[in-house]
Amino acid sequence: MLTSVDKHKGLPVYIQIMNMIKKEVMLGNLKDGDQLPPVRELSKVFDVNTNTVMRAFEKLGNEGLIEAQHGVGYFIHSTSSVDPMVIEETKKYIQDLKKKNIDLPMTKMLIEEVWKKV
Amino acid sequence: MLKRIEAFYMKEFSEKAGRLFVFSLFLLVPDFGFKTIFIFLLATSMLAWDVQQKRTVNIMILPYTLSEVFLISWLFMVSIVTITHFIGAAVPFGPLSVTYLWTAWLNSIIFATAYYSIAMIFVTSGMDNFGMPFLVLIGDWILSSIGSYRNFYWYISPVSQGNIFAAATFAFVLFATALYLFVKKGATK
Amino acid sequence: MSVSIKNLTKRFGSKRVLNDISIEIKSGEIFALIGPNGAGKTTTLRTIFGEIKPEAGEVNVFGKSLSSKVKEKMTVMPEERLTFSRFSGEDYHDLWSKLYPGWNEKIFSSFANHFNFNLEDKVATYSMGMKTLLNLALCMSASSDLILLDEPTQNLDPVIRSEILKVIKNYIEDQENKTIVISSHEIYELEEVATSFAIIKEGEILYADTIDRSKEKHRIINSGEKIPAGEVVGIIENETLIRTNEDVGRYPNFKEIVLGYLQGKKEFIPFQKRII
Repeated sequence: MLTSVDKHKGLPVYIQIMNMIKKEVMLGNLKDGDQLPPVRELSKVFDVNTNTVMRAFEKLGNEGLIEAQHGVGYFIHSTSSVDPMVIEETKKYIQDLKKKNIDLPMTKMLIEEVWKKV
Repeated sequence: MLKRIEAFYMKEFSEKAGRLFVFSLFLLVPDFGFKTIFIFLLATSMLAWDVQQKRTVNIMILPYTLSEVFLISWLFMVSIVTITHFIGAAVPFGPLSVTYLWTAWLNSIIFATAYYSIAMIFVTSGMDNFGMPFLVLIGDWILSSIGSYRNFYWYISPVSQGNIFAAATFAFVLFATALYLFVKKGATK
Repeated sequence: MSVSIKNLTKRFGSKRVLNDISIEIKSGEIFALIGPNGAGKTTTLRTIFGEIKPEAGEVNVFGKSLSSKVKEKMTVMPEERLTFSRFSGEDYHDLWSKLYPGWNEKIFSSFANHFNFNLEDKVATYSMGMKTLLNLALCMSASSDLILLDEPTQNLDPVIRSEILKVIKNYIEDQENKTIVISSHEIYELEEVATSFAIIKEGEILYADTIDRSKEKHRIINSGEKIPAGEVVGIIENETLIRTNEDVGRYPNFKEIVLGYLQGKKEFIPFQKRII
């Protein structure tokens, strides 16, 4: 899901936008060849000005994740870098935690700790 | 430009209503000698008063330049002096000889212009709009009453106006100086 | 360029209030002028709308020097708000609609209806919040390309604050080539609306940038950590704000950047636990 950015975070807003789009690709919600909504519309969704959306798109373009087609719009130009199996396994793992009544903040903390150690 | 003048007048009438009404009553008298002091009071409560009271923000945020505010405020004063003068001459104090009427009007305008400018010069130099100009007025009275035509100052003095052209020139020099200082520094003490 | 200020210096008597400041504000921006009280924010705004003249330097608005034509396209909410004595809301409406050729009656009525302005009443009797809203309504109804707001949320309750911030954002986002300059020291609020900013202190600009780029160019590291190539900007509690191109530490948030610059490297720890 694409949501509004958090302006009070340290992470620059355009990077937050890039991350959200990358995440959608990993989850398979955005697929190779899909057209992104118009910049104006996205600027409302992210609650930023259009320049910021353009900046994020420019960087994503440089990374080869999206492609601009003149006068048409922006298209996803990549398949997920993450094996769908990984997402499936993550789902299983989260279901396990949920069964044990572990909530989202705690889950995040667990993941963060594990991420730092592995 | 007309709209800007109109808007400025609207603001002046509303802000300074009480004072303007009282001064205007005295300004009805068409005799220059009598109303000198009231013209002085009017001249020092124009733009110089606004600057002294730090009340220029609300006019300066509007589409006026510094020189426009200076000139329109002066024009407002001239309008008051002129209108009251001729109403006074036509109704309660008339009829008067044409020469007398116009000379008294011209004297009033020259005097008003001179003291409007003096008050502005003092205020923009960091002093006040009333006290210092009042000292100048007293000095003006004293200096211009010594020796009349043998005294050069008597010709140009805004009070005595020994020669009306010389006095008008002097008033204009003061006016130009005040405008120059105001535009250079801005609406601040 | 909406506003361009070059090497501005202004003295009040012997006190230097602005010291050689330069600021460029692009159109389409919400630009925040941030600094403590007395830093020179209001003086900067007063030179932009031409109330005071600098001793040195140049101010251009829309690429031109100030004239009444240029001023017809810009409006201001001064710190004092609306102070003509005896003026009613209606009087202000008449005055402003007369003076601004771009006046849009529809916008004014929508503000008046939404916020229930008592237009017959004297504005001097309005609350601070109402004065602020009326002033904002006048600025926006004049269809200005440039609006200067001096401390727009000062002394306001939280509901009106958030309304005002929403309106400010809406003005810029849904119209082309409009610019708003806000002077304030409310860092958190500014972060929500501003796109660019300048930090001003004692009449000098310490730093100016877009918010995103400023976050990119700085990092926060723990005071114990090794300082990478870069410039130490300031110390915030146990952490250090540095300006660097290296990817170290973490990104600073806006508050940390502003505080880092304003506080500098001086640490003040009057109470320290003695370990014997």
